[in-house]
This record gives sequence, C-alpha cells and structure tokens, in this order.
Amino acid sequence: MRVLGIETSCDETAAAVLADGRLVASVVASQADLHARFGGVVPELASRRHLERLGPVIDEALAQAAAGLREIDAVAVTCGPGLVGALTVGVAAAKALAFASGRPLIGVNHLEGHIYANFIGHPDVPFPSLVLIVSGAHSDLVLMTGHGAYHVLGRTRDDAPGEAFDKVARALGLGYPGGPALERLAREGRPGAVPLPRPFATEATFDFSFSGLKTAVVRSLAAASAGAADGRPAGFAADLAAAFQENLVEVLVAKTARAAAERGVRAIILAGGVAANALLRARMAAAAARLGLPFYVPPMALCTDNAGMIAEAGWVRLSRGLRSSLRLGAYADLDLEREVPETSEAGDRPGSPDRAV
Amino acid sequence: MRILAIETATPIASCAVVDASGVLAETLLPVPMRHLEGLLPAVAEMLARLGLTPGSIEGLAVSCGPGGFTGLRVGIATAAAWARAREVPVLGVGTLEALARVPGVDGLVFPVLDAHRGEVAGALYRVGRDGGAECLAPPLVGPPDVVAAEAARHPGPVLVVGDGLTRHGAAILAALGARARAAGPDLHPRAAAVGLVALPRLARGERTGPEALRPLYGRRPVAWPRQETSG
Ligand SMILES: [Zn+2]
Repeated sequence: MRVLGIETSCDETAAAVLADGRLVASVVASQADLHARFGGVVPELASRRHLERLGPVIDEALAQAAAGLREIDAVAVTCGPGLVGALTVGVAAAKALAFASGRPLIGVNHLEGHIYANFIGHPDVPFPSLVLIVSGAHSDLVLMTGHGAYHVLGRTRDDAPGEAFDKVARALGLGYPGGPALERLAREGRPGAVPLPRPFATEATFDFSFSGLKTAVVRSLAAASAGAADGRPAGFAADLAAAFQENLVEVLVAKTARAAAERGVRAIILAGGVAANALLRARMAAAAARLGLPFYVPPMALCTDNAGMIAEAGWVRLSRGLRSSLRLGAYADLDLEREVPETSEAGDRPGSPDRAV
Repeated sequence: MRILAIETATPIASCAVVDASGVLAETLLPVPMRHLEGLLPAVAEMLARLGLTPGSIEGLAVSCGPGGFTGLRVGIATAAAWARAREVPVLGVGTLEALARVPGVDGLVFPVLDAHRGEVAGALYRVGRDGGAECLAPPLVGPPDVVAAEAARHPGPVLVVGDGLTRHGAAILAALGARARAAGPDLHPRAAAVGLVALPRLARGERTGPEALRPLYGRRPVAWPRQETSG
C-alpha cells in the first residue's frame, strides 16, 4: 500500500511516499529564505509559497518513489495545528487528489506526525511510552498508551523551546531561524561560565516555562555589554549560548525522566524540530539508559517538519480503519487528546470512494 | 467537453458542470466563508446527482480573482490537484470576466467587486452576443473613483454589476456619468459563468499549467510576523 503524505502547516512545503511502511520518497521545500528578513513566518507569504510549490513538490516525491498518482492508495494530510492559511492549501489539494482518484483521505494532527516520525522503520515501539515533543510551538510531555491514545502530562506555559532558541539567537545577532546557529555557537562556550535560572526544574508540575530563562539571557547580554568599556568580553556570547542550551536541555530531560519513572513507561520517545539538537539527543539517550528504557529519536531529517511523518501517521490511522470525510478543514488549534474532526471508522469498505464523502 | 467549474473568490462559493449543451448543474455552497470544508462535498453531491464520476470530467475551470486570497487558494489548489490526479486540462479564468457574463446582456459591462478597506476591484469588458468578452480595461484594485475612471475612458452605454455597487455605487456612477446604468448589486461571480467562459477556450486547446495557476493578488501581502511558529 502506497500512502502520499502532504504537509503545509508552517513554512515547509513537503510531500512524501510511504510504501508498505517504508519511506521511499520525502521532499521538503523550505521557505526559510522567504521569511528570514521578517524575523519570523509571515502567514500570507507562507500560504502563497505553499500554493506555488506544492504541485512540484508532490511531482518530485512521486518521481523519487517511481510512482504515478494512479499508484497511490491513500492521501494523508496535516490538517492542524498550524497556520490556517498554510494548512488550507495542503488540505484542499489532498481532498481533491483523494476524491478525483477515488482514494481514501486521512487528516493527521501535525503533533501526532512528529511522534510517528519515530515509528518509520520501528513499528513495534512498546506502549506505554513517554513522548517529549519539542518544537518552535510546542513542548508537550505526553503519555502514549497505544496508537492514537494520548494523555498530555504537561506543556509549555509560555515560550516553546524552539521559540526560546530563536529569540535568544536573535538577541545574539545570529539571524533567523537561529536554532542551528545557536547550537553551533554553544559548542565553543563553557556552560557553567554564566549563571542562569533552571526554570521549574524542581517543581512537581510537568509544565514548562522558558520565557524567564530567555529574559535572563537577554539581561546578561545587556549587562555584559554595558559593563565592559569595549563591548562584551571575548567568548561571552558562546558561554551564554552554552549556558542557555545547557539549562534548557537539563529541564527538558529532568522532567521527562521523572515522568517516565513515575508513570512506569516502557520507552522514551523524543520528537519535533528541537529533537534535532545534538545535546538534547545525547542527554535524553543517557537518561533513558539510566532508567533502563529503550530510547527513540528520529533521524535528523525527520525531526523538522516533513511529510514522511504525516504519511506514517496516516498509514497507521488507515490501518486502524479511520477515514476523514471530504468536509475536513484546517484547524489552527488541534488537541492531540481528541480525534481529528470529520474523522471516524470507515467500517468494512476501506478505500471505497463513496465512503470518503 | 464536460468541465467542472469552481468559483471561490467571494464569500459565496459555487461549483458547476457545463458542456456544449449549457449548464448541467450548479451548486452554491450553503455556508458563506467555509470554502475549504464545503467545496468538495458540494462537488461530490453535484456529480452524484448528475450520475457522473470524477473520471467523467474532461477539464476544469477555476476563478483566479481578484477576490479573497484564502478562498481563491482553496479553489486553485483543488483544481490544480484534480488536474494532476486525472491528467485533464485546467484553465484559470478572471473572476471579473465571469461576473461580466450576465445572461442576456451584451455591450460594455463593468463588473465591480467590493475589495474592502474602501477599495473595489473592477475591469471593463465588451461582451458579444455569443457571450464572448473582450477585455478593454484589465482588472484593477483601488479606490472606486480611480477604478471607474479607467472604465470611463471607453465611450458608450455601460452596465455596472457586482457587489461593489452596494457600498460604492454613488462614486462609481458619478465617475462614469449619465451613460452608466447600475444593475445587480446582488449579482455574484458564479461557477456556471466561469465554466461558460472557459468552455470554448478549453475546447480550443487553451490551458493553464497546474503549476502556473495563481490567484490574481490585487494587493501586496500585509507583512508582519506572527509570534507563534510551529517547528
Ligand atoms: Zn512541526
């Protein structure tokens, strides 16, 4: 069975083909260059670019998969959460592809997609698992008890980690998006050289808060610049970046490990764009090892937004008998704990076009 | 040639099937501004009513604006994806040209749509007895008097149609003078007209590459970053 995945929730236009659970094509057209000069994603520009790029991106994915649209058995698409105008382009295209070719349609929650990046090639991840989703919009600690069964234990109260990374990077003059640049700079710094708060690290809650940490970084930066006659001391920016990254990672890992121990899970899963951070991957792996738990994290290319993860999540949903109706919309907010709107069990006639209506 | 036509430029979207015999069916979406949710179910229901399947559609026509950007993108993304899936031709049609196609009317027609923020979108057409239209002043978005002044450069009686009349009728008619006649502020661009405009062109072999289908953006994008981004 071949599933075409489509992802347009933010600033990556992506399409992928999953054939019998194997990712045979994944194409991502990034819009980072388009939004860089605005220092953030401009929704209207993102929507325009998605419309221009989606067709060619789908064509390229099909070419990589050596398949035509006629060989596609189902269409999976991100329907939220994300920018509504951006999501709209992908959902409209997916619905038309599915209906015009008489194939089933399946709407996918973007966050579930991030989680399922871990299932590509690992269909037997044990349940219950503890999942940490970290991205530009999310830091969700989720107990996953089975396919599609989620219980959110905690989430960010203010800035998401990726957002904090971007804001600190901007304060350090590293441009946008700043996560990878900040990570490179941090490698040259000494994490203990600048004292910074460890937000919520010891509190009982599983919620996160990173705006205080971000503010402390910006203050340290201003103080250092004001204190020295000829600007900041050499290496200060690197030390500050290292301290920021260290504190953020420590809080993420500590809470995840505590939740894993308390809930008696059988695996730890890391997902989302910030899961590409090398320090976070290494520290989380070490924490899982200390708990004697298997640890899953997607390869780098499947951490940031892509359509392979959407195809995988869609494929599992289709296997569970779920189908979305042609009334599927685009949803800025979508709760991981609730079923995707316009989606239900199709019963005994999977793939039948009249069932897609 | 049997074509599916899509109109999503304005708050009331529609779809239609037309062929050489005329309009076989047209459906107006029941809920305004819910183009994404409503369009495909309306198409599916209309085809079923006609006893047709997606495979029996031989071409597509889609309204490309000016109009609401999000709505236009729903229609265009739908038409482009459908054309790819079935390998059938698609043609982009000007929304104002479709609006100018008033049944039983020929001569100069000046369609105007309310573009909000005090502006209208307008264009001037000379419509023939056969329904074919020649564009005399291309689509323009701007203040009503400025847009109407473009149309006023062409002499002769002119019929003004469209919801731009509702708020800006006085300014538009003043700019055009006594020869102008206002009709149908309640007339909306309709998928049936989009289909009828496109049909002879598609039959002649005219096409828009699915990758070249774009909304006619009348304004520059409003550029400010959103705080939240998803990674
Ligand atoms: Zn994401």
